[in-house]
This record gives sequence, structure tokens and C-alpha cells, in this order.
Amino acid sequence: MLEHYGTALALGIVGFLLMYAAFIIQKLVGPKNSTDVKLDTYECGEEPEGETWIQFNVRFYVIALIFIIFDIEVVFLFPWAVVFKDLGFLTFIEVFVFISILVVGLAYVWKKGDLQWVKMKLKYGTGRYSASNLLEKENLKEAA
Amino acid sequence: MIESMANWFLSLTWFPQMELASVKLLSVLLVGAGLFAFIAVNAIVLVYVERKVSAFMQVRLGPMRVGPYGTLQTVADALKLLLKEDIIPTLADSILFRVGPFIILISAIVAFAAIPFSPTVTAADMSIGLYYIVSISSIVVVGIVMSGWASNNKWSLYGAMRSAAQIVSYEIPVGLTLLAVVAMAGSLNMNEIIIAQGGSSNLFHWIPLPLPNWYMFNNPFLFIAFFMYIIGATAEINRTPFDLPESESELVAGFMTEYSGIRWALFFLSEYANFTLVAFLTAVVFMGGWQSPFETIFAAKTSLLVLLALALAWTGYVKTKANRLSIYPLAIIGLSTIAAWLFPGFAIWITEPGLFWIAMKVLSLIFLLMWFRWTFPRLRVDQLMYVSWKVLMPIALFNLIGVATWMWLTGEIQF
Amino acid sequence: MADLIFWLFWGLTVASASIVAFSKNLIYAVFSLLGTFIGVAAMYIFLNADFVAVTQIVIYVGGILVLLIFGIMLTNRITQTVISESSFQKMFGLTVVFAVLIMVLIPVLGHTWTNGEPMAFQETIHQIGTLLFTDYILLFEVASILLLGALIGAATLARKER
Repeated sequence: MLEHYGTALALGIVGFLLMYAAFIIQKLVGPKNSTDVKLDTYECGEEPEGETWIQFNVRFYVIALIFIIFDIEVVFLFPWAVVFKDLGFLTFIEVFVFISILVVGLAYVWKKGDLQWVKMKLKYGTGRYSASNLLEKENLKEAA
Repeated sequence: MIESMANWFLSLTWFPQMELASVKLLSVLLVGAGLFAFIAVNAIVLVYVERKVSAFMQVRLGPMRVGPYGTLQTVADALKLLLKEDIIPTLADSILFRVGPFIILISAIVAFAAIPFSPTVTAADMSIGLYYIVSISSIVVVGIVMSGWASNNKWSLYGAMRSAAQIVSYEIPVGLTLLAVVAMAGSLNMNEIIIAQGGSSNLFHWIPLPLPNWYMFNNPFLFIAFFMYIIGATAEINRTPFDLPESESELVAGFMTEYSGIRWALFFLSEYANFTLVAFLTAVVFMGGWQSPFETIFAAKTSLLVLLALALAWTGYVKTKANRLSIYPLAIIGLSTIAAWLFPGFAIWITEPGLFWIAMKVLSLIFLLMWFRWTFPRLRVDQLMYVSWKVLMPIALFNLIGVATWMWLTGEIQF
Repeated sequence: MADLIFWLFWGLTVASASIVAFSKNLIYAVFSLLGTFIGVAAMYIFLNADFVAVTQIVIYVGGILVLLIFGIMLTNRITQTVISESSFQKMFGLTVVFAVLIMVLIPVLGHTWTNGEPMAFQETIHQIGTLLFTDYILLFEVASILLLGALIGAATLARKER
């Protein structure tokens, strides 16, 4: 078994070394005349404005949280999938209970809107996307 | 494979007398180097293929100048990238900026160790090969966020965060889809999953069509699972229509914006390595891997005749409709049919070699994913999350339950 | 050769763990956790526990590390954040640390260790699966309730801050 993972390790090391060799070649033959403008942050030709490392939306964090829970679920199910044929259908009922409990969780975060990436904001909409226009459409739909 | 390779080395007369352990070490290193050479050459070829396929789909010629039909174009591109100046922006975090691409690259290539190219050519025939590949391909997220953050560029950081959220979201449906197959095969070993798909069967146990017994055709749930896997995998490797992280119209180049020259080449290499990996995984899990679609020589011969008839009909159709004589499919299938009927050696050959069949399957899947790129428009970021969590996720859970019930109903497992 | 690789991974684990502990830059601390997790996974492989090793990568690298990174991205002005490293009660802390160290060292050094033959590799996932779905089925189901609680609790807490 060690040799299997050893092969994987060897592949990684060989890949790293060969790509590093490419970097050394680049160091030897590549030009070296950097200017301040060249080393500037790229912002479509404009002067970089403001801070990059800003506070991100909490939604990313929530997605990662939900992901971990379901990732662990999948990890639990892998051993089940392997022994399913040996142990028979009864284990499936056990797994069904397991999945159902987690589906409750999925339904909860779904219902609470944690999975919704963009909440519609009509405040600043203009033209046919303006709040009054969309509201009118809704009213028409309800009337019909 | 390492064991047999070491024994082969020791059986050679000119080979110096060494201990088995050191010969094994030598074989491990050789296998690693060979696999990396395959990945690198494959990336160079695929870039060319992608440019040509894109060109033909847009009625252009694509690269034509460098070498015959532009075949050396990517080699020239690679040389040019090597000769470029190495630029690290002053504001960037120079340590993480250097490390990031390597993490992405290594996570892309290390997974190849468990890929079975043929029954004998499997670098590492791990007992949990499929799980290993799934786990290794989740490391890429860290590399992407690392290089995106280190660039200190707004495009890069937004691209990286989007990419991370996307890969993370699609990992669950993909994992659940693969679970359905693992439950059918009862093993995580890649070669065992392939062997379980041997022979031919009736479609979905009912319709008497002489289709190969691939998991794709095994039952309706796995048929859905195949398409779900393709969708999820396309999203996981950030290809169109799921290429929001590097959508050029809004984020310039996503997390790669600040990278240039050979550092950027690392991203490209790992992108195509991931692309090929996904194609290999689909071929192994759903399409029988290195198994020939024809079980017996007779099946091969008759199937080739059917294919010949189809090719004839298609050629006639193109001739009458577009007044063009498209001879290549007819010629290829015709020649193979004649060869299969006249030379028994050839007939045996088309049922045997794993390398040929897995290459065929992988190439057609790669073509399919390239085709996607010019067919589907890019998704919006909220649609992306919608598809993953609210469409694929419930279907994947339902599919898993469906497959288990199907196995019970068809008597494959006891209560 | 295997020993050499083992010590290399040991070095990776310890080195990256000490970066996590001592780095003043939060981002370096988080990213060097990658080295720690991969080193620990390698340790599991040397223990012939391939399933646990791969699970380590799936959950810790693919899940928890990503969660930590996203968590750090939530902090405003990451580069300016001062990690409070001002230590107090140094003498008391050192005393406790040394006391614990001695308490650990006494049984470790006092025991006479025997070197057994290295065990041949056996497939672990079948055993894990069989045990999980026969003997430990209750724990398996309890785990799902634990996960449900974690999911709902985490989602609620994260939502409040919005």
C-alpha cells in the first residue's frame, strides 16, 4: 500500500521539480527590465483605488458551513456504499434515516434563505426593473 | 504495476544487480516521471485541439501557421511563455504568490496516480482509488484562494472567492452521484469498478438492446446520474458554462489576472490536467473504462456492420442535403469493418486493448466538454448556487435512494 | 526510504504547525495549516489507515480549511488586524506546561517498548463499513442528529450577524 501512495508522492515531486526547472530556465533566459508601471496592480489601466483585502460577504461563510456538514455526510456514506452489497437492504433503511435527518437540515437552510445567493433589491432599479414597474406586473399577474 | 515493473527490470540481463527495494524506488520514480510527461504532453495537445475545435465550430481555421496545420502552435506558445519576464506585482504577497500555482498544479497531477489506463497500466491500484481522487481534487480550492489573495488585486480576489464557493458547492452533488455508482460496484477500487461493468446487457434490464453493460446504461437512475456528474464536474473544473471565476467580461481573468509567463503556464497546465482527469473519471465510472464496448468478436463484427450502415446513410444524407461528400467517417468505419472480417487478429485487437478504448472514451468526453463551451451561455452567480444546492442536490439524494431501491428490486442484494 | 519520507512529513507537520502558532500574519497561519493537515494524512498512511488518511484530506483540507479561509475573509482589514500575543502570567504558564510535560514523559520513558513486526496492509474500508453499520449503528444515527444540530446552529448564528 505504501508504494501506491509513494507513486502519488513521486508524481507530485517529479512535477514540482520539472516545473521548478522551467522557472530556472526562465530566470536564465528571460528579460529583467521591470519598471514601476509594470509591477503595478492591474486594474484595467486605472490607478488602483482603495483596499483589496476587504470584508467579504458572510454568505460565503454560510455556504462553507453547510458544505462541511454535507461533506461529512458524504464521507459517512462512502463506507456504506462499499459494504451495501454485503450487508443487504436493511443497512439502507439505516442510511435512509440518516439522510432524512440531514434533508431536514437542508430544508431548513433552504427555507430560511441561506442558499439564496442574491436577495432581490428593487430600491435602485430603474426603467422596466424599477420597483413600481415590477410591482405593477405582479399585480397584473395576480389579477389574471 | 510497480511490483511487476521491478520484476521486469530484474529479469533483464543487462540490468545491474540491485536490491528489490531500490529497483522498486527506481520504478516508482520512472512511473511518476512517465505520468507527468503524459500530463504535460496531453495539455499541449489539448490546447491545440481546443483551439481547432473552437475554430471549426465558429467556421474559422484556427492556428495554421506554425507547423503543418498549426500543430506546433502550442509548442511555440509554451516556448514564448518560457521567455517572458517574471512579474510579481509590488503590492502582492510574494511568498503566497509563488506557492499558490504549485499547490494547484500538484493537486491536479497527483490524482492521476490512481487512474487505470488499462488492466496492467495502473500506476497505483489503490483500494480506495475513487475516494482518493475525490479528496485530492478538493485541495485545489486552497491553491486558488491562495493565489487570488496573494495577488492583491480585486479581480483576483473576487474570482478566487467565487471559484472556491463554486467548487465547494458542486463537490457535494458530485460526491453523492459517485456514491450511487460505488453502491452498485461495491468497491472504491477503480479497476474493480471497471470490471463490474463488463459484458453486455439489456438496457435497464427490459429493453433488449445489445448495449454494453456500462453503469450509464445500467438503470434509469444511473442514466440521470451520468448527466448530473457531467454537469457537476464541468462546474468543478471551472469550464464554460460554469467559468464565472474567470469570466473575462467581468473579472478580467479571475484569480489568474496578475499572473504571467511561466507562472501562468502552471495554471494552464493544471487546468488541462483537471479537464483530462474529469474525462478519465467519467469514462471509468460510467462508461466502462478500458473495457471494449464489444464483448465478443462476433458482437464487434456485427456492431461494425451496423455502424457502417449508419455511416453510409449519414454520408448519403450530407450529400443530398448539403451537396458535400464527407468521406472520412465512412472510410474509417469501412476499413475497420473490412479488417475485422478479413483478419482475425484485428478482430481480436478491437475487443482487447484497454488503452485504445479508454483513449477513445476520454477523447469523446473531452470533445463533449469543448462543445459545451460553444453551446451554453455562462450562468449568473446566483443561478450557479441555485443549480448546485436546489436542483442537483435533491436529485442526487433521490438518485441514491433510487439506485438502492433498484438494486433491491432487481434482486442484486438481499433484505 | 520510507523512514526518510516519514521524517520529511514529520518535519512538514511540525514546521507548518509552528508557523500556525507563531506567525503574526493571520493569512500565513491559515495557509500553513495545509501543510499540517497533509502531514497528518501522511502519518495515517504510514499507519496503514488509508481511509482515515483520505478522509483527513477531504474534511480538513477540503472543508475546514476552506471554512477558516472564508472566516478570515470576513474579518475587516486582515493585514492590519493585530493578533493579541501579549502574554501574561508567564511563570505560572511555564510551570503548568512543564508539569504536564513531566506527567507525559514519566509513563513514556518508564514503559519498556517492544518493536513488533510491521503489520501487512489490509483493506480498511470494508471493516469500517461493516462495523459502522452493525455494531455502531446507534452512534452513526446520533452523528446525523449532531450534524443536523451543527447545521441549524451554525446557520442561525451566521445569519444573526448579517
